[in-house]
Amino acid sequence: MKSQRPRVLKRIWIISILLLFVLAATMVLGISVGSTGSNFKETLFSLLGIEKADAMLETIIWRIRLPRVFLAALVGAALSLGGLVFQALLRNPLAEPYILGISSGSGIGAIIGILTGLSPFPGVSLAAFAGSMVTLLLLLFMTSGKTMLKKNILLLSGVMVNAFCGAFIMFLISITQDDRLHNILFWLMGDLSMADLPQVWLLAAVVAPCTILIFCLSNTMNLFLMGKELAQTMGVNIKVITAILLVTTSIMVSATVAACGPIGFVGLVIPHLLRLIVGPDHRVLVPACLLGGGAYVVLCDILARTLPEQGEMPAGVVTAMIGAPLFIILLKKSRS
Amino acid sequence: MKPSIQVTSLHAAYGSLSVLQDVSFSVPKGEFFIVIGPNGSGKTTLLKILSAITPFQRGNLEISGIPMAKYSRRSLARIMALVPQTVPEDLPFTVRELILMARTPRMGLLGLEGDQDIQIAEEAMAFTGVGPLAERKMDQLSGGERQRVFIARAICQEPQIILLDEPTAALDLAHQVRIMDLMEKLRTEKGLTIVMVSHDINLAAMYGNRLMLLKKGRIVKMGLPAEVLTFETLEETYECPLLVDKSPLGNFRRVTLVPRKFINEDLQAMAVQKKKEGDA
Repeated sequence: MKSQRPRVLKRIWIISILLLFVLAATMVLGISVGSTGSNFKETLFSLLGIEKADAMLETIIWRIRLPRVFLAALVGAALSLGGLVFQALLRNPLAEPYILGISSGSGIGAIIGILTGLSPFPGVSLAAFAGSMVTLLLLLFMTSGKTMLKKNILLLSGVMVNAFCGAFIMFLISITQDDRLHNILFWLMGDLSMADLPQVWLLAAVVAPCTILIFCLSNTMNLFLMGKELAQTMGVNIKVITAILLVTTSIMVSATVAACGPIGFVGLVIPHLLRLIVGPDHRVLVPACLLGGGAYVVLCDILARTLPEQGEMPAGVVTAMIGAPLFIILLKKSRS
Repeated sequence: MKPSIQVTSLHAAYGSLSVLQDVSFSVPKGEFFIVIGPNGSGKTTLLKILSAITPFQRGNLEISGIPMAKYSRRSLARIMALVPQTVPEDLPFTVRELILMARTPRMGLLGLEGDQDIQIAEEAMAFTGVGPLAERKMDQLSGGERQRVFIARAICQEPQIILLDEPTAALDLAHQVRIMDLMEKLRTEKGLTIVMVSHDINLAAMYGNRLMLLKKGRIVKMGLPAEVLTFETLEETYECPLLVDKSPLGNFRRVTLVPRKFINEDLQAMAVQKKKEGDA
């Protein structure tokens, strides 16, 4: 009996192309709809360079919606991948990209930036990024040496850093009284509306190399699931790989938080969702998370922009409101 | 020819607690070498040192004539594979996926397997008889099936040395023999060096080329099974009543445990007699 098993490369391509199609479709949809109404045909023609739309729509498409949709896709991709890596690294299904305190660290940076009157971009973004890097260094210092690999030390240290920073954020909020309070709360909810193209390019420049590095380590992440000791006997230098994955993922996630605040739930639910669909192999899951996570946040952002009668809701609210029930339905289906 | 494993004056400790003291031995290529000893004798630690999971404090360790420190994890993984005692219960992979992962130390930067890797995995599955399980999930297997899958995984790594940590400990009688026969077949057909840690003295007596008896981190005795498994040595090492006689299968030692309720003068007399027969 000769079994026919599709080579892993073939699976990666099939799933990537399918999800790329989904991502492209949601992005075109995202650029087509908005508060000024939807113009699907004109938008598609304008994007493809077939026929220019009228001047105002042209500006809305290229200056407002396009950067925002690209930002949403990048953020979704980076956060999903971040969740996937942390779930493998910490061998904990509850891990998400913010679990080690990255978002609360950048929260402190952003709040200090807002309180000292920095401009939203690049001022507050840089302050947020600096905040999360300080948190990461603190975490690395706390867990350096032998202790990093001990069971759950990294996770526990991260959760403690997160709790401490969270308390500090509450303290900063409690002493702020003027309208800067609104800016702080809005930042903490996660907001995609401030997107502009230079910001998107900058984020892409940070995220792209990180994702390539993580893909190269995706097979190693499979071995992580076998346990530390067996992985070592299969040629994995656990300590070095753990450090590389931790730092790479943290930089990538910090950059997204600096760009648009902490958008919740994507990093937790998308990797699990895709695992139920495409299986446990990280070589397939890494590209799947990038594309699927991107599509998910673009879709959620469309709903966040169009559902409310007036104004818009934070994208983070939609990601959780849709993601949680969807995940439970899939989980129930896969068990039966 | 250089021995597969050469250990000289090895000392290991966890903090101030000494685990191995002045352990020296050598395993020639193609030998089935079994380490036995009571709980806490340092057997598992020794196996972890050999597989570069645990560091050691003093002494020398050479694998195929090259000091351990000269190996990268990847290069070591190409000549040595481990069959662990316990693995995570909730492995999400299928049998075939898990076995294919053993090719990692020979894969390129992207960690993608080629046709040759798939071929070798198929052969490893055929050799261990787990072919029919290929598409099963790891958490749907029985204990014996899991153990054979992990042996197939080790074979797929194409090592020269296989280390096993109590592979028969949780298995029923049929599976114990099956696993041991499999190791014997690996040794004779593929010429692999096999180092096994075991609690089962009777299996060790029948399958091991040489045995090493450890107690409290020191070597009590090393040599042919018949030399190591004597009544005096075993009673002194394990500190429990037992009988040693000849196996009905041939010239092997057989060790019988003696429950407390059987311990009386008659039995002691019998033990002495059996001992004489065994030594004769």
